[in-house]
Order: sequence, then C-alpha cells, then structure tokens
Amino acid sequence: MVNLRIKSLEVLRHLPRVALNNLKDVPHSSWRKAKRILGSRREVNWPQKGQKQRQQYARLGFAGGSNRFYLEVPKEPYNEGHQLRRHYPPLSLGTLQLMIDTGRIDVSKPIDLGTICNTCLFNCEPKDRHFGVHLTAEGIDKFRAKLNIEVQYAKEPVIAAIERLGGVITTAFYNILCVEAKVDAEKFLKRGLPIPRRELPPEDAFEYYSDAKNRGYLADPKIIAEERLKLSQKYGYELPDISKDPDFAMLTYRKDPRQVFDGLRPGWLVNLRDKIVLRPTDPEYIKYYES
Amino acid sequence: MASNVIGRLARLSLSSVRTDRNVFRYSTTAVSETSLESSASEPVSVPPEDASVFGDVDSCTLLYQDALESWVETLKVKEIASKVGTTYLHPDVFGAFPRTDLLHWNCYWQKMYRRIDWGSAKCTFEMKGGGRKPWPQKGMGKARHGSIRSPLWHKGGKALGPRGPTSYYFMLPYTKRVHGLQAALSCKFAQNDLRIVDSLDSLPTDDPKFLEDLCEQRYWGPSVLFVHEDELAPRNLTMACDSVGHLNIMPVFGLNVYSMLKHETVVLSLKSCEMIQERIIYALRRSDAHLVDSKYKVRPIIERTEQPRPL
Repeated sequence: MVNLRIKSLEVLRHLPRVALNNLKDVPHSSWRKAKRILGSRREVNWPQKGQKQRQQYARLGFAGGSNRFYLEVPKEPYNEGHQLRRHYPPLSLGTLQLMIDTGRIDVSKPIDLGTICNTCLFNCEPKDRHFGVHLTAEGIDKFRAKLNIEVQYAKEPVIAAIERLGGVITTAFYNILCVEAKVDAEKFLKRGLPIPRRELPPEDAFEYYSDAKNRGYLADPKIIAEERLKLSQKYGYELPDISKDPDFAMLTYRKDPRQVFDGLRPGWLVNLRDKIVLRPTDPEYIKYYES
Repeated sequence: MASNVIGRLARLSLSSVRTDRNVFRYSTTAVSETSLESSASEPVSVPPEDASVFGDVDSCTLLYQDALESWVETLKVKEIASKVGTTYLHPDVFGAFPRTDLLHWNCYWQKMYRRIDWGSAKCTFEMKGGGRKPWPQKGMGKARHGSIRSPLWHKGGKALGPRGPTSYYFMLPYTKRVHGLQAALSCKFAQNDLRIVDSLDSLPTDDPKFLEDLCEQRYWGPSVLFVHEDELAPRNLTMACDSVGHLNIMPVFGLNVYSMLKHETVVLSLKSCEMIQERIIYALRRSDAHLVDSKYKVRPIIERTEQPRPL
C-alpha cells in the first residue's frame, strides 16, 4: 500500500519550491460571499405579488385529499421527549484504561465526573441534559486498574470488573446545576455563586440510586458489602479484602450525598482571585445548606 | 544582490549534481541512499571523522515512523563542506503531509487580519448642499429632481459606495495555524530548504560579504531566514545581516508561515530547532485545543471574483 505522506514528500523534492507565488486553496473549501440585496430585504425575499408569492408547497406529511401519511404509517416514537429525558454519555472501560495509561487520570485519588471531564477527552454538555457518565463494558477484558470511581450509571458486568481488581465503584446523582459545576469548575466558581447543595435524585431515579445492587450512593453500606460478596460469587472471582489494602483510606472515601466538590461544603463561596474560601455565618443560611 | 542572482542561475544548472542534500529517510522501507552516494566527478560534502550525533533518537521515533535525520552545519567557514554531525528530527513536525491549502490559508490570514480598507464615499445626505429643489416639479419641460446631490447628478452622492473603514480581521482556527507551521516546516525540509546549524554564534566575523559568500557557496538562496532561539541574536550575525535586505533574523517565537515561505532557505540553530519541535508537539498533542478558539470566533470576509470551478 502506498503511504501518501511519504510519497507526497518524495514528489515534493522534484517540484518547484513551495513559495508564496504557488499556493492555492483546494476548490470548494470556502463559501461565497452572500449576494448583495438591492433594496428592501423583505420585499426581495418575500414579495407580495408575482410567482414567488403564489407558488407554494404542500405542508409536510400532506399526501393529497384529507389523509396524512403519518396517520397511515405506524409510529414507533422511541426518541419522543428526548430533550426532556436524562442522558448519560458513554465512557467505555477501555477508554478509561487508556486515560489511566497515558497519565491523564491519577488512580491514587478518587475519580469522579470532574476528573473525567478535566481530561478534555470526554464530552458532557449540561445544556443538552447530559447528567454525567455512563461507564460501559467495552474493553472490559483489558481493564486492569484498581481505583475508586464515582459514575452516574453502570451495569452489573462493569461493577464486577472493577470490584474483581480490588476497586470500588459508586453510582451517584448530580442535578444539572451540580453537573455544570463539575464539568467546568473554574467557569462555575468565576460566576461568584455559592457552591450548590446537591439535590436528591428525582422520583424515577431514586430507586436506582438507593439500590445496593447498583452501588447507589444512597444505599446502606452494610447491604452493599453483602452485594459485593454476592456478585463475586455470581461471576466466580475472589473478592479482594479492601480493609487490608494499603490504599484503604482512598478506596473507602466517599463524598457526602449533598456535597459537590471534595473538601468544600455546599454554601461556601470560593474567591479564586484572592484564593480564599468564604463560609456562611448566618444560622438560617447554614441550616438551609446542612439540611 | 546581482551576484546572488547569478549564483541562483548557476545553481539551477548545477542542481543535478548537488549532493549535499539532507538525509531523507521517511521510513525504513523507503530509504533514499542516493544522497549519501558519491563519485569522483561530483563535488561532495564529506562529514569529518569526528562527526557527532545531536539530539535523542527515542524522543523523535514514533511507533510506526522512524526519526528523520538532518545534517548539522556550522557557520565558521564559507565552504559547503562544513558538516559537524547529524541530528534527529521528529517526523510529526518535519515530515508531515504537505498541506499546501493550509499554507494558503495561513498566508491569507496573515495578510488579511491586519488589513483595514480605508475606502469611503459620501452618500447623498452627507454631501454638502442639495437641500433646495433645483427647479419646480412642473412646467419647466425638464426632468423632475429634488436635489442636486442625487446619485444621478454629476458631483452628486455615491449610491452603495464603500462605507468607512472596514476591518478584515479574522482569526484562523488554532489547529489550522499549528498544522500550517507543521506543513511549512515539512515542505521546507523535503525540498532541502531547511538547514540546521550548530549555533548562530559560530559566525566568525561581522562582515556582510562573508555571510553573503557563505550563503552563495552553500546554494542557500538569495533570501535566507536565520531563526535564533532568543530575541537577542548574536552580534556578528546581526551586524552582517543589518545592511543586507535579503538576509533576515527572527526569534523562535516569531516564526510564521508567511516568513518561512517568503525566504528561500530557513536556517535553524540546534537549540531553536529543539524549541520549535517541543512547541509544535505540545500543540499537536494537547487535548484542550478546541477550547483555545473559543475567544476568537470571527468569520473571514472572503471576496471571490469568480465562482470556483467544479471538481
């Protein structure tokens, strides 16, 4: 197979010197300047008489008579209301392993949504109702990292893959304002808002995040320990004992269910310019954020 | 200058017997050993016995690409046989695909972003006078007119003329600027117009004649761009280039596509070569490159006189 890069460089040796006089753009790479409209834009584009006004197309879905084609053809609206649903953009275990191998993620510290977004290799758009990361099983065979990770959605094989290597996984919910704060923390703190209180999951997600099988952050830790053992028996691996692990403190670290940033509590205000943290003193204020 | 032009003509006739080309080895399979071959009839540049290898191979070797190699020369003597060793170059910086369209865009951007069109014409209402109706509407047997400054009139206002100073400022996307530099360096290296010297300090005199003779003897074109690692270039080189218009000096941070293509040969010092490699590799590898452009979202104004022909 011809390597185009090598061949073009070899060809270039026998061509005239690349200089200012022989540069050219590839055709059709840029747009034409818009045609100048003489007169009123409204009158030219939407005239009130003549052919342009009188010609009209039938509206979409109108097939003549009184039938509409969408009444004849059965609908399967899988994506109906997609703009209102919660989306979890996927991140595969293989990609996560690649990020760890290339030094973009440090496994000696707990990993959460903020860590993953700071690599700039994962796209999470809160404005498109992306509520966090869905850790998928792709590349599960080459995953070999021991870590403490917090994701928003994960299925059973992924949980098993992480726990088999002595790691810890938690599924946690962030409301959209907190996702915004996590995705770009600097931008959020520059807005001068106090750190928000993480809200509890909505009604339809509460069951998922309080279930120990999903390693939900609202589940009872004792039941989670039981479920870890059950899962290891189901998949047939020996569960490593975390209590004897040298990284015990890191592996068992967890944020408060109301907390957004590690080491910072809701209601605090961060001043990036003076590098100080302002804490509230008003009892009413404190009570609101602690509830 | 005249001697340089003659030198250029002589070089064109000599180009078939030139043997001081850089060592081109774009891959292990496509080794071109012709550059190293020598015969009795040709002028040959032979590296000295104590020729050393500069730089690190491993930092310039990729998984599927070998490091490029280049001669390292010195400015101590005029002669073409002034090789002091070889150095390794990164294939992503000096051996990338020659995107000439990106070179075009970079040059276009460098010309246009500072252009201000000062063209301006007065319209009817900006002209002096013309407030009075020149003659009555009816009864004169003449065409009806309301103002002597109407665009129909001689010395009247201009209809749809240029309006005031227009800025053509736009920002080329960051990745296109980086890939433009990459393409320019690769084209220059492939055409043997990129020379690497051990240091620009090695020029022995501040005599312009010496430097001009040096450039001519080594078949560097009339115009040469010396790229120095620091903003303060060595005194000898500065004095030698000062009176010669076609020999120019530029610091590494000022290196740009337009200047590289304007000059026939680009001469890098070893240190500036390293710095350029480091900067471009960083720019190519950074994962937040898409965030750099967020500040500058200005669309270019492109004036095309004719429609592009179909492909």
